[in-house]
Amino acid sequence: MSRWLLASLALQNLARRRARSLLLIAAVAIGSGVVFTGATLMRSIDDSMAVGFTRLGADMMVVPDGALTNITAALLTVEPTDLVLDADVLDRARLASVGRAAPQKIVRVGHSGIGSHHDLVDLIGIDPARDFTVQPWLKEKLNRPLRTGDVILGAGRDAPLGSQLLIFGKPHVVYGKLGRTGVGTHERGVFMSFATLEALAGSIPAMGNTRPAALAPGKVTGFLVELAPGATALQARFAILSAIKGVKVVTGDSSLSGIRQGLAALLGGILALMVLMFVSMAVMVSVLFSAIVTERRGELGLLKAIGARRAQIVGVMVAEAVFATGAGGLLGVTLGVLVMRFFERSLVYYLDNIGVPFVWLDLPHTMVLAVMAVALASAIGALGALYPAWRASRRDAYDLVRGEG
Amino acid sequence: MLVCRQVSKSYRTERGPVTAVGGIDLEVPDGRFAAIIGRSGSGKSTLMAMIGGLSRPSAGTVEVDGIDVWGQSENALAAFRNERIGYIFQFASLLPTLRLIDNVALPAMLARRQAAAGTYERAVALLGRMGLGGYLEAYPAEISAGEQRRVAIARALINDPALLLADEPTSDLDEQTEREIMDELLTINRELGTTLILVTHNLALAERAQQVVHIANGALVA
Repeated sequence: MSRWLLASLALQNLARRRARSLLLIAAVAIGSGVVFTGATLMRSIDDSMAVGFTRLGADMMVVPDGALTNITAALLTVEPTDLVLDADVLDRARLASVGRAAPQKIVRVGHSGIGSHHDLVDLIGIDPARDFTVQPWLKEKLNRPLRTGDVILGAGRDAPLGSQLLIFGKPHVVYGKLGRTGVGTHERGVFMSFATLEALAGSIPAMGNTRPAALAPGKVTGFLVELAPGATALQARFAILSAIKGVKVVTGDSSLSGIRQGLAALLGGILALMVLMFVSMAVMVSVLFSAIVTERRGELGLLKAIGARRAQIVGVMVAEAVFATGAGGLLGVTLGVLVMRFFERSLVYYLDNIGVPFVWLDLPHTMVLAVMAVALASAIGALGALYPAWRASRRDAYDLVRGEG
Repeated sequence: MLVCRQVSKSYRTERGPVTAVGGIDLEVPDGRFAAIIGRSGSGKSTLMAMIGGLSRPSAGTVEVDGIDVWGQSENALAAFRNERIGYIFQFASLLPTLRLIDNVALPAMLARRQAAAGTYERAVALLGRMGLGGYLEAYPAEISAGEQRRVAIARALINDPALLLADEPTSDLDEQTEREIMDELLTINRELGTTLILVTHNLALAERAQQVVHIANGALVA
């Protein structure tokens, strides 16, 4: 019973000093709003980075020496060439600096039945189990694993998901479609498993006198390579060239790892700022409640004089702080959601338009962050008020009533 | 029965220790009206605060009905203040954010002894007795200083205290109001048998007491 009365006393105290209470709520709202928004964006950026960097493909490419390469496209797919490598050449070398290696076979064909009559189409064979540069770009796909006879279309080609696509007169199922990558090979390519490509091989006519070398069993056009953790591109390049003869190692834009490290540092900085903001908020609330307790010594002394226990004295002050900072936390989360709405409609829209993916944190995780922000704001209020209230509760009631202590 | 034995209170200041009350012995039997008189700064209010459990003595003991007031734990002392003492301050001592009825009911609510309905019925009766039955829902700022003092008396009585301690309760009131409030306190003392200890420097008021304790410079005057 007294709990409700003391809680209502705390609320009434907040209402009595309306301007101060509103300022406190606003300050906590800004703090918790920044923390909530920062944490949500941080997690979203983190997730986006995870997806984005996966999509950015390989760290380097290994192709036959003499093969022409397009650096921009290189880290997503190898370029069609007549030169080939043994499919197990990298496995045999067992290089510690090589993390993952995805083999690809590429055959550029005409008169395939895809697109207009004269269109050249890149048929790109992948090993679905080892691929890490094509499948991360899947924008939509059938709800089952990739099978023999399935094809994945680049963003530049249009066919309904699940529809039948004739390639050299043989029916294939459109299993999935890739998002826009800005890389021509990906945009125009028709991707399929090695098994599908091998099944199609007999239907692919020879170009001139020879059949495309990449169609030969046990041969691949090249490998897309991801470095082992901690390995540098230079180490891997040296190791590959030393161990395998007749290959060329093509590395991509070295600024990618720089961007990755830069973003990681930025996120770390944001996290540190958020922690600092929370600490400063706790200090501010504590200072404010020291002043509030000092101002209300008479009232607290009176409560003590009529029989309030120390826990009740502390409780009424802490409840007041929790109500104010909790309300601030709720307001902050609301403001944060509005800010992110704005963010979504401007920057994310812009990023999406230029093909840079931004993955928002899912709703359950966002809710968890919102609840945590409100809980933390309330906890800061409780902690901030606890010490001044505890000190006041230890004073003699008479000293408090007389405005001392 | 109130018994004080060699009760003292000293404060440490920058200029050295100051003794507000020095070794006072006092006995007040149950149901009596006692007045503590003396000049300002003589230590009357400090002695009263030590009796009421509001200020810990530097030395000596205070006993109420055989209970060593300052020998109790913090929670027991809080319960003692709540249940055995009714304290009326020399200033308006109501919580401004609570209605008059809530102010009066508050000590009983803190004790959690009675059901809320019973507490509020008693608060209504006490406010009615003080002539404030029509102001139950009013806030302290909406009534006069004299009426606020009456509410404080009602609050002091809500838990049926053994001791009613009034520390210059009428010092800032006009004569007419002062007389009315004093009459009310004396009626309570007489009708309910509550021991009344009044701090005052008004000798005319003190003349109405059954026992007068004169303090000067923190000590009893013979």
